[in-house]
Amino acid sequence: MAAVGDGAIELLVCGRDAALVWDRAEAGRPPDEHERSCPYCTAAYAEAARLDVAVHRMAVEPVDPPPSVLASVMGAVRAAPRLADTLLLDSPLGPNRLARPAAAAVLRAAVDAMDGMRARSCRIEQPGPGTTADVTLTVAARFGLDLAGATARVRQTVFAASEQVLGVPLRRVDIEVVDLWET
Amino acid sequence: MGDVTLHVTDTAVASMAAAAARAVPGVVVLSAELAPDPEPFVRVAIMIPTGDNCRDIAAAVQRSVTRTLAEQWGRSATVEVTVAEVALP
Amino acid sequence: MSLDDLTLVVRAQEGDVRAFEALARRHEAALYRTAVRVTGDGAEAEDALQEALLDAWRHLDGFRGDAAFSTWMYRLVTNRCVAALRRRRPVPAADAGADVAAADSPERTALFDLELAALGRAVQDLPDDLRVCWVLRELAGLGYGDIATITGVKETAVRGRIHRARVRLAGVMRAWQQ
Repeated sequence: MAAVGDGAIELLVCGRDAALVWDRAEAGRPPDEHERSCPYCTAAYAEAARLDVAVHRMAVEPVDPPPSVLASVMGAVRAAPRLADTLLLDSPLGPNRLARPAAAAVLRAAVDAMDGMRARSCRIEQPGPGTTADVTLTVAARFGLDLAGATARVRQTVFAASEQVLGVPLRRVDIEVVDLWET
Repeated sequence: MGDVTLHVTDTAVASMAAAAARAVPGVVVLSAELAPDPEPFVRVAIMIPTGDNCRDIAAAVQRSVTRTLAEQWGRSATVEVTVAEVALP
Repeated sequence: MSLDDLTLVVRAQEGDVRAFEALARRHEAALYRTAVRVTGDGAEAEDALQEALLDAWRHLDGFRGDAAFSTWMYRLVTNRCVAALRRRRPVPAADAGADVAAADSPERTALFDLELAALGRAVQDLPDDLRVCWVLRELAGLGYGDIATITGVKETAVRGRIHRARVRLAGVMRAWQQ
């Protein structure tokens, strides 16, 4: 929605761009040589500073949302689980199913529990036949960590978690370190 | 004495299935549905607690529901269990 | 464990509800404050925040990660606020902002602070397009580039609107102080 005068530049009488002067005053930058001696710039600085005091107080005033908003949103989010997206579980009475996001959350939690590693993307695919799966993980690692050693441990952990907690045997686990973080 | 016909509504069968699923320790039943035709197909969605094996629990629920329906309803149904969520520590 | 926004976003995109909740919790206060200052109405701000969070959940796939997640969320909330403003019956300029202490307005809590109340009225009296840009800059602390992205308005126009808003507010506050 373009308003009239949107692009126009307002000049102070001395020829300076008024918006830039106000910006600098607002940012707390000291006036330059011209601005110190120019009555128009000085006035603009004073105006900006005076307004800024009240604006700053408004900006730090705490205004918190009622907890009902988040509660309502999460209720709606949880009420529609993505049950169509499932993995197969072996059973002598015919295959059962495991929601893929739930499975991914279990494997991510296993990775998160390891020192210096945080799971990001976790994709689980069952190429078939049977329930054996391939897992592709992206992780963020702590700066300075021995990546080769840590990646090998993550692989072991994921294999174990998938077997013990999910009951989904894995064929391969591919891990990509995509980010580093510093403590 | 003449023949007795037992008629059980789909909802009642679903309730039976849900109760049988709940009998497995730790299981929280989210939903239970019966599709009666052509062969009875029962879908049960569950949540399971931390640490338990999803495949094993799903199979245990499947056994419990299958047995209960055979005993109380007198029909053999295909039962499919979906683990919708795993409680995380 | 405190996870960065990008990690939470990727997880939420893959269906992780807890990751989405963590994101919402992290950002909701800042988004709500913005909505309150843009709409001037606590109830409308709650609706805008709620709808924006649901928009985020439904359209997470549309978030590409090329901009910050918070900027994307500001865009969703600002869109909802602008829609709410457009739905209002036009109020004569003299009356706008007269309803200072509406039951759930932030002005009520600031009644002991007359200066803040005066500034609050002055902000609500600004034309909508100026107020939106000014709130995003002065109260949400966003950069001109981000505000241009959020509002869909060119950066030069954003600067112009913020400047005109500042000049107006400074004039009102100067008069109030005298």
